[in-house]
Amino acid sequence: MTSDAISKEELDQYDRQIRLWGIDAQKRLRKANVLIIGLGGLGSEVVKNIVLTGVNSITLLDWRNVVQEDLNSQLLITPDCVDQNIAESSRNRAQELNPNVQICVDSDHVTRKDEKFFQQFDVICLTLSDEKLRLKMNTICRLKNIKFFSGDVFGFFGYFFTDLGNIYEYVVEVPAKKTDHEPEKAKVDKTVTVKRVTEFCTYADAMEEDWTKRSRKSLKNSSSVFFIIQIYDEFKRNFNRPPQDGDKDALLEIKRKVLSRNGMKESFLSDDFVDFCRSALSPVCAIVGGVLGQEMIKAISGKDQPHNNFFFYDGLKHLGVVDKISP
Amino acid sequence: MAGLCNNALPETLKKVVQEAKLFVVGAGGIGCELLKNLALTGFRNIDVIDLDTIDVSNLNRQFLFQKKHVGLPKAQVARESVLRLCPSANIVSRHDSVFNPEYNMQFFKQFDLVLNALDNTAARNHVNRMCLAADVPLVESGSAGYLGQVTVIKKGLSECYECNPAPRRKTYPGCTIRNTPTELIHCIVWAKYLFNQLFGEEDADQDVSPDTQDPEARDPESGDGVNNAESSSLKHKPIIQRKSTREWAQDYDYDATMIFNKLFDSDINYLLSMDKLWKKRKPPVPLSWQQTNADNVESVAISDIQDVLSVKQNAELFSASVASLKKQLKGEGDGGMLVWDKDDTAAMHFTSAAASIRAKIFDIEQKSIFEVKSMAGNIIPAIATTNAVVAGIIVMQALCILRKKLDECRSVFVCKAANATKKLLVPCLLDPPKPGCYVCAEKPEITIKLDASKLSVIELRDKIMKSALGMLAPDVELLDGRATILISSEEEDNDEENLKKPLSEFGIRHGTRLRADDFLQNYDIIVNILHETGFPDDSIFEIVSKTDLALDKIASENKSANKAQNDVKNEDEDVEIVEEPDISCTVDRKRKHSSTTSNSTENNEGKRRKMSNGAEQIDVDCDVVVLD
Repeated sequence: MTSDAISKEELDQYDRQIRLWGIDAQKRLRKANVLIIGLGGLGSEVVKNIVLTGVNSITLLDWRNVVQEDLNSQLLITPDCVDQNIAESSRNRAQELNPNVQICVDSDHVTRKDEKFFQQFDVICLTLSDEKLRLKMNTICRLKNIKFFSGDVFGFFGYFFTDLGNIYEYVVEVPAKKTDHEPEKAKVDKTVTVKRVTEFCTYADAMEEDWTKRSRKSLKNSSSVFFIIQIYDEFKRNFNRPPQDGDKDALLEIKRKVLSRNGMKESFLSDDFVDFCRSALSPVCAIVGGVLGQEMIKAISGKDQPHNNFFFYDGLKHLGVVDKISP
Repeated sequence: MAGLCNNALPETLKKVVQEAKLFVVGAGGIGCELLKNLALTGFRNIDVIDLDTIDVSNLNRQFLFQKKHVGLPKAQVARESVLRLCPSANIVSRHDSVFNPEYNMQFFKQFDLVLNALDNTAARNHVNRMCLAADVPLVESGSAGYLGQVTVIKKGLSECYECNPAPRRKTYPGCTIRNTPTELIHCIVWAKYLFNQLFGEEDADQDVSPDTQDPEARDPESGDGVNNAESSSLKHKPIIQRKSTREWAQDYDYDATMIFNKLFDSDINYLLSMDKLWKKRKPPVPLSWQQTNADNVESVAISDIQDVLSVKQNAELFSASVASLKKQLKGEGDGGMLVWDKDDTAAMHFTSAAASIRAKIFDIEQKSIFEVKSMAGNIIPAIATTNAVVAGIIVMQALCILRKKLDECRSVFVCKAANATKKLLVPCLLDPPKPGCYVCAEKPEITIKLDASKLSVIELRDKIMKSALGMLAPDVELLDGRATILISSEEEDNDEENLKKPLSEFGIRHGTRLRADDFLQNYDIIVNILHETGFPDDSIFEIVSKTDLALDKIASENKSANKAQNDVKNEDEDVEIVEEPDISCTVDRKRKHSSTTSNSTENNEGKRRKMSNGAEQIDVDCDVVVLD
């Protein structure tokens, strides 16, 4: 694993992806150490996507025990894992996905981990979190220069946030400019690699954005899922469980509060959401986990333009939006 | 039990999900992800079919499979793997081709939904027809690299898969391949033909020797391509004239040096003698084995398949791979032959070496074995993440159909970067069926130009009915008032001699109407024949229209009416869900809602372009039935 040259076996196993992102990106991937906090449906999708690519190591961190609900979206556990630690229960299946990757498991509570623990990782992906934990983890990642992602899925809706640091450098391949004296046959798709730079803001900063300042056009293209996150968070704080059938009134009341707090019209979020804002739905975990996994791969390989800085998925509209939310 | 307590779904939907019966076609890249999503969501009755077995190159994304499963049937291993996750599911796996007549209309009718996770147009066309015949909703999907697409096909409500025919696979003129290559791909196609000529099934259409009939080589006065050559350089006449390449190579016991010199020295010298070809082109430079300084070797060590090899290395790779393929061929016994496979090292080395040497001769830029493999094998890159997203979207469409909200289903495009309106997963309204579609229209009809005095009955059956129109076993009769039977789907009913005769012998001429019927697909179509002579190289017929003009007009009117309706319905939501995606910026961005009668033709055109883009990317992952 430590040798820099990619073996014949690796070339065969990763053939279809090396043909997409190139050998250099693959070499960066196999050196990366990734931490996944929260092994629910979304976390398990991300683990699958990242382990399959062939990173050096992945650490699964979750203190929870498996509950029935997890069996509807978590792809690394089996029904007989109920009441056992969910990170530990995910280990074997994760290892089966790719024997080349070192799988580590930690059943501690994330709040009990010190900064030194996080330092060993290149990328951290936080799921099943509340706002307080998101803010805390983002701060640690900024401090330690770790690429930070956090996301969650609520029924038909989901999102993730990205902070790759104040200044993030990456490369993109662009079509090579044709020189005049080149013969016609040289039109074969030649590309050149160019460096680009982009800026990210922290989660705390993103929360500072005043949505009332958005133009009509910008609002029209914005996703109301941003507010569903806040509604869901508040519901869980109040009731200590995800919404289910019969929670319509409670959800609508929180909706009114959240939207007015943000200075938004109530019509910005249609009331239909109440029946579909629930515990994690498997296909939504797959969609959000797929886009999130690919962004982590990009962040590790330093290749291609990242989605800056929020992705929202709305399963009622079948719509996926990338939006920059910043002060 | 998982699913029973799935609080992610509203109570009403839970029950529907549990009871629904699904048919998943394909257990590859998208199929693996899809089966996992379905089982976790609470679906309990799933039939999955896949013809393929597991390959090591699947393992970077087809996560239901492990190294120990390589060589086993995908459908079976996928079933076992999903059952571990969800023991209460009732999954039937079929290691079989979906073309098998066992999967007839009755079979399809037992399902509430069919979900496609296919990788080829032929199977997609077939499942499309079966679902139309059985009137079962179909969710269609595809992925390629970072791009993906999902759409919903419901008879009478939305476009069928064949309302927008996929562009035909790119082909190259024979004389470019044999005489005047200008790109590496031409040399690769030539090398694959050469493989078949030497070791595989010989095909008259895959000749690799100089083409003396090249119209460009012809002397405008004498009309003879090799007039000069005949008189001036008889010594460069190709070594084999009447003998096949195969027989010639066998006579010399596949001596690599001999083969090398024939292909890259004598044949090239012969090409040079067709001097008209080189008036405006850079002439090729013949290369003999002696010039390469290569040693005749039995094997070579390739240190890095991403390196571009030197001429000497390629010559040695050529000699080593010929030796290895010769052994393989002997192992097949008398009359045996090899089948070209991109994953067979010797076949790939042979192709890469032969293509690279030919490229060198024609001063074309060479590439590494790794890259030649991409081009030769037509490998579409595939990753887990895109497939996960696509499979997730399929289930979201399936849930939408089961909620009986077909009007809320969308055709969704997965893009690499967000478009100008921030969309990364772009939903588009489903288009209504094209009234002139030659598959889903009430009375399908098509017009085909052909030379009735040349085109044979067997060509009508194989190249038109089967290949172009996607039928499996067509019955074809003349609409001449007597219903003369031209082709029977029962092989033994056909007179072998008659099959070889041109259509004109059966009274087929300009304006003749034929009726073609496929029993399995429950599909019949009227074919209008336009007789025409003088088809250009390599083509023997042309599909003129899927519709006649009158139908076209109705189509565009209907389209506008439908658009208008949609506009009203989506007044509040505005345009956000009715917009074209911006896949890799090659597609014109336009707003469907602005469609009016006056520009509907243009809009149709734009849509067609979009679909052809989609169709290309859709030819992807997970292999059920490989026809090519």
